[in-house]
Amino acid sequence: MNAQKVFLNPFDRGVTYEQFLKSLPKGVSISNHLKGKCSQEQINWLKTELKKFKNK
Amino acid sequence: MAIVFSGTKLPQTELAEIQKEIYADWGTFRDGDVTINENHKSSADVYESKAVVNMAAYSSAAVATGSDTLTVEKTPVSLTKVQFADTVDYNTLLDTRFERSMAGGAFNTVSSEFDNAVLQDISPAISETMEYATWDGATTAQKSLIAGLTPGAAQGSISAGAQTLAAAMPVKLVNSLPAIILHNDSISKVVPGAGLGDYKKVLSITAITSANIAAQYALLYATLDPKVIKQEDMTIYAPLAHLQLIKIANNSVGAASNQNFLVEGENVSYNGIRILFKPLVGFMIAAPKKYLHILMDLASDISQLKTGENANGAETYWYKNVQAFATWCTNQRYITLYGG
Repeated sequence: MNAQKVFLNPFDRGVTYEQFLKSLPKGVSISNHLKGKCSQEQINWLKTELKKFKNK
Repeated sequence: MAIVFSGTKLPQTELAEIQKEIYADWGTFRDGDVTINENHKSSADVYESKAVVNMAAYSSAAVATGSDTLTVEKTPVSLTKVQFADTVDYNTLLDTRFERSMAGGAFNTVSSEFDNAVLQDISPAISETMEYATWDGATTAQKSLIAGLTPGAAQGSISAGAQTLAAAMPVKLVNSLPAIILHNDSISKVVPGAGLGDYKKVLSITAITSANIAAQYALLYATLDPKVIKQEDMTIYAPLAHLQLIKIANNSVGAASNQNFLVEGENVSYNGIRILFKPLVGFMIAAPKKYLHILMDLASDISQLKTGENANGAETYWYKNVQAFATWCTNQRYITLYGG
């Protein structure tokens, strides 16, 4: 049986970017992963944020 | 007949007025756009209080100990002593227009014209520097502390964008208000002591242009704690460029044009909240004025310039301005930081 990764909403209090990125299934884009769970506006902002986070 | 001239040709006239730099004054100190707290030399205790009461069923019996809490917390805030000081050698003004205003005698090189036209600009330049220091910049230590915070998208965590802005802040000897809102050691926070500030941040922000400024202010407004909206001194502190963007947005051409901002001469507001334009970079602060503080010894220190002649026969002069300064924020849960 494949272990399912728990969905982490990055907009939930206490969820860090590091935790969210670790929870992201391999080969799935952020947009697809959050589709229907976050607004497009939130997804766009999150992508900008994660770019800045990775460039730190 | 040809005229033959030998020698150096020199300008024979000059503009009467010396053309000056503009020294901006955004009113932070002059108008007290934040709370200016005076009479503090090296450090000051900041007290915050909170009462939590519980409704209970009526009883005619004697009042027993309940679970209401009255909290008083004390946070010491250190002021940083800074100075603006240098020496002036009037001898470098020889062979210029300023020579004409020097008294006779080789010893006398002080130029009254230079003092009145150039040296007096030091005070407004200091004011301008202090304005910038209030709204942008952080100490090296504060920048490290902000960089060390764990970023996240939700409330209660710093955004990566805020860390980028803080990293790009100029290094200063004092911390600006945005820097102190992001990270401070207030005892009155949900998690007391050194760490992330208790501010609310605006989610899903974007670079502000005249096309989206109304939408971004709407996001900021929607994030505010409803308790602060009706506060008399509720203020949005916005970057200087927003004034232009607001006016452009208000005057945009087209059927869909809406006047989202109220502009009455110098007074600009959004949904009844006044906007003050300050040299902020990337951040906007929405808070009652009483929660944003500057601690100083005397506010007038900002324009106090002492001068004198250097000792031991030196024909140079000194000037010095000294200030004790710190920024601070209280009731942080009611401060909204766009870009935070």
